[in-house]
Amino acid sequence: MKLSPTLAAIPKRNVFSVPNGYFDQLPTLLLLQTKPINEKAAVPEGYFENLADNIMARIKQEDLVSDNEHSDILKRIGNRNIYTVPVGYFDQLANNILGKLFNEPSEVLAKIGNKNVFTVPTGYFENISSSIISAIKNENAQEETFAISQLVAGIGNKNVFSVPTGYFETLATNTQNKINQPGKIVKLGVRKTIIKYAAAAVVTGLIATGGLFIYKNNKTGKPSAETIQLMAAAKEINKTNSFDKELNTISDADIVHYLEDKGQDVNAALVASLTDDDKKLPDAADYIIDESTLDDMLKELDLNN
Amino acid sequence: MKYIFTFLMFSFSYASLYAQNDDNPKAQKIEALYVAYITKELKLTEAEAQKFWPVHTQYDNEIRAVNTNDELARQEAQLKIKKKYQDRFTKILGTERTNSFFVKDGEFRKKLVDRLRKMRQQNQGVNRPGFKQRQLNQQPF
Repeated sequence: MKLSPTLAAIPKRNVFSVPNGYFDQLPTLLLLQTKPINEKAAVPEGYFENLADNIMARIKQEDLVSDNEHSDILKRIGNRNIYTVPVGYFDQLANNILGKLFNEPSEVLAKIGNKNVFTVPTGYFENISSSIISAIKNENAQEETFAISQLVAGIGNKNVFSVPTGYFETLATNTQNKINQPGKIVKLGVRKTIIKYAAAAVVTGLIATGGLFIYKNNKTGKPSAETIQLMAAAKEINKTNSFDKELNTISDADIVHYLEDKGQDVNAALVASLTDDDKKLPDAADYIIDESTLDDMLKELDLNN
Repeated sequence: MKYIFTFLMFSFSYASLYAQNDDNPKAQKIEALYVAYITKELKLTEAEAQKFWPVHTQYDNEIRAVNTNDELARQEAQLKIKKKYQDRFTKILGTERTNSFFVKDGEFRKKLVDRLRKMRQQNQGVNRPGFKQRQLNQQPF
């Protein structure tokens, strides 16, 4: 590693140094320096005794000053009470109000004068109770009740609530007897478990049958997903005219599997297929010309690999 | 817990019973060819196809369910199913095309059998050198 020229120029000696005995005197020096500060921080005599009063006096002074600053009106008012009432105002108030009322009567009242304007027909209050009662009696209560509730109307004045004779006398003992009857003892046994399983099975069966029913119904109603898929594939085959091409890609085993699945006897079908093809059958003359014709034919028919 | 287990057991047994449709993609391919063939031959419209194929699925399931080695019994059972579905097909396709459907249904299978036969004959020709392939068209008399 190369040193920079500046560093290289520095001779190899310690350039940092402290005066002799610097660290030995350091604590004392520090203490000497802090001492005068402590003396300065001392509180005047009696400072804390008067502190509260001083603060309160300050606050009062400032309150006044700031209040006066807020509003010129308040400043002008100063300490005076500005709310006044005329002398003897409240002593005369009642008399004044009453006097006003009597001295200024309304026009309507003036017309009436001193007459009693409220009258009742003669004997009104003497007959009122009997007239109310007769009015009530005239109302067909029966009819009205019937309109509200046929049941209540049917009951009429009878007391329909009754208890058997001596019911309440024996109630306490009867209740007590019933409470004291021994509870039913339920046995938890194998039978119970079997019943539970059977119940589970029955429920499952019902659900499954229901599901199957829906499944079958769906099958008749709408094409299943599988059918839709087949229809789409068929559409593609017809569109591209690739029936024969696709047919040729199917293997022997797949065809056999398919035909057997549909219940067809494949071997019988093969023989039938062969004989259907007229050209495949030898002419009568062939048998004469070639003695192996029949053998060949039979071999050919033997298609069961 | 035990009940849940029982429930699941039953559910699965049901599910497996009715999940035996062919999931084999190759079988699906032949089914697609079948649907294509019938659609084309009967000239099914989109609306007709929507109604016809769901009924056909049921029909096909019943046909496949016939299980016997007795050829005549099989034919009889299948004929019964075909007669049962004749009315339902007629409602969608009309009489003429329903007849046509039963014919074309057989023809499709015949196409498959023919294809199978040809494949096997070719294999025999290759696999058995001693076998004399009859060249009927070139056969001089």
